[in-house]
Parts: sequence; C-alpha cells; structure tokens
Amino acid sequence: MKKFYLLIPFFLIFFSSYASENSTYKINEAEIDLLFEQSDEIDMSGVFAQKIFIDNYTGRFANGDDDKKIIAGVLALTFLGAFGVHRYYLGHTKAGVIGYLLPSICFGAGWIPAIIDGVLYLTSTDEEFNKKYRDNQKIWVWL
Amino acid sequence: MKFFPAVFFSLMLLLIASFNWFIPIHKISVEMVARSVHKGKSVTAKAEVFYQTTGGLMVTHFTSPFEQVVITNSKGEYKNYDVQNNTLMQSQGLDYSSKNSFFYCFLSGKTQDMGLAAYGYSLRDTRVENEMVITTWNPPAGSSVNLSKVEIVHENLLPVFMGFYNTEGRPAQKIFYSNYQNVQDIRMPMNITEFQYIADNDSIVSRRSYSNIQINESVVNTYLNFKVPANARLVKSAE
Repeated sequence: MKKFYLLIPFFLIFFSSYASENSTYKINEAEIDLLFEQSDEIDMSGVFAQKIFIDNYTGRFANGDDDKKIIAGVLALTFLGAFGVHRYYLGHTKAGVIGYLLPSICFGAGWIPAIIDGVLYLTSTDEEFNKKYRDNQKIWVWL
Repeated sequence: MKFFPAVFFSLMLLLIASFNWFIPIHKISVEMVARSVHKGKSVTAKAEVFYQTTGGLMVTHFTSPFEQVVITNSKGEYKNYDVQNNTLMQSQGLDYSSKNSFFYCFLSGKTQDMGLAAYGYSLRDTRVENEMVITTWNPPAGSSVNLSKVEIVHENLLPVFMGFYNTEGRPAQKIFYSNYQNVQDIRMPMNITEFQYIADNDSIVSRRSYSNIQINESVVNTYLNFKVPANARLVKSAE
C-alpha cells in the first residue's frame, strides 16, 4: 500500500505534463470568451463608413495623412483587406500581393493579417502610423 | 405475410435514408462571426458564406460592419459589390481562387497539409506526441515569407493546430481549430482561433465562429444566384 502512495506523485507529474503538452496545441475557449467579453468594441459604423464607402476608390482617399491612416485601417478591416487592398492603397502593391493573397488566403484565414493591420493602424497615433506603417514595404509590417 | 407491407416500407425508408447519408456535399452555407481583439479593443464582422463545389463558387455576404457581397470562384474571378453605393470592384487571378478557401480545404479533404504542399512547402518530419501527429513543413526555397517552419498537429486525423515560426524559431502565428461538428460525413471546426504575435508578449487574438450550417438542398440559393445589378458603377479594380 505504501508503494501505491509513492506512485501518486509520479502519476500527478505524468498527467500534469501530459496536460500541459496537450495545451500547447489546444485552445482554452473560456479564456478566449473572457478576452472578448472584457474588450471594448470599436464602432465601425457612422463616420468610418461614410469615409470609405462614398465614392469608392475614386480619388477621394488622398486627403492627407490622417485620412490615410483611417481609410487604410478601415479598408483592412473590411473584406477587401484580405486581398491586401489597404496595402495597395498605401502603395505597397508587392506586399499586398505576396503577403496577403498568397500565404494567408490559402490557410483559410485571409482576413487575419488584414485585421491585424487594421487594428494596428487605427490604434496607432498619427506619428506612429507615419513612422512605422505608411512607407513600410515589408510584407507583414509586424514581423 | 400481413406484416410484409410494413417491413417493405421500412426497408425502403431505410434505403432512401442511406442514400441521403452518402450524398456528397455540393452546396454549403454558414453564418460567420469574426472577432479580433488587441490591447482591449475589439472589432467584429458578421457574414453569411455560401459555397458551391461546382465551379467553386463562393459568395460572402457581409452584413456587418458594412453590407457587401464578395463573389469568387475556382478560376479566381473576383467581384466585390458594395450594396449601399451600388458600386462594383472586380479582378481576376489565381490568388483570388476559392480553392484557397477554408471550405475547399475541408470539403475536398485537403486537411492533411492544409494546402501547404500546393504552395511549395515540403514535409520535414513527422512525429507522434500524446496521440497527436505533428508534421513539420519547410517553406519553399527562395520564399519571401520570413518563416523557418510550419507545424500542423492532427488529433484523430483532424487538424487542431497550425503554427508558423519565424526565422528565430519563435511563433509568429498560431491557429487553433476546435469545436468540430459533423457536417454530413465531414468533420468541420466551428471555431478557428488565431494568435498573431506582433512583439514580445503582445499578440492579436482573432476568432471566427461558424453556426447554422446548411447543406445541399437546405441552402438558400439567393446569394449563390446573386447577380450584380447591371447599373452598378464599376470602380477601380484590385490589381
């Protein structure tokens, strides 16, 4: 019986390591739910919508850096972002094609890099945007 | 003998039902909610997605934050119709092909490599850990993608994880496939969660949740038959 008790720590260590190893490849849905519940939703209606969807892509975009940041950010957050349209808008055609169309869409989550860009653009200050993103020709600006 | 009609009809019903069980999926529609969070701020997009295996027609009807209809097919013909302003943007290229989509991957049984092989990735090694099969892939030579390897983890033959690692060996992106459900004879994840690492201890978390899956004759064809209005104004095409 004593031997049995001695085995308990062994089993505990074994199963905890098993669980932690599995957790590397498994998602904790409750944690993710909580993360979203505790976040502040960015309102995408109203002003942004007016800016983007009036006279689409007809030249009204070139209204200065402030607009560029907002327009590129919102473009990234629409479906167009998955095709790199926000990068074309900023003049990063090569990055738009290689970084968004080729590697991302094929994995079934083409909009993900675009969403990241959109969030980064919209949460950055004008100075940060101009410095980090506006002329950044890297395929994925966050790498 | 008096039970013969009952037995006969029961067998017929069973036979008909069995035909239905094995009818392959040729159309599917889902509702999708996509959320992304970074530094306590989140964005949400909602859409209905329709996919038809014939011709690979895929129509995504975004209902939020803006109403748009995006149409692609296996040839890479791409149209983006802005409902509110009646404008159309269109382009063509294999990069737009619906063959690159999540639906094609799962409905065509391409989950073993998740489409990596088609993009030139090569298998480096395979190992088994805790009843999960882990395959490691090398990016194509000369690739401009700054990755050292990609890991795909399968559990019970289903992909549960994809990890993209940068040249320093640190994770650049992790994708988790979870909440699998049976769709006809195919298992599909209802949740896809992504972690995009943008700096040390900083990541963007995104999740797509699918619900209300309809297949074959249950799919409402409204958007699969969607025609862009003839008077839609053509705006600058995506290059």
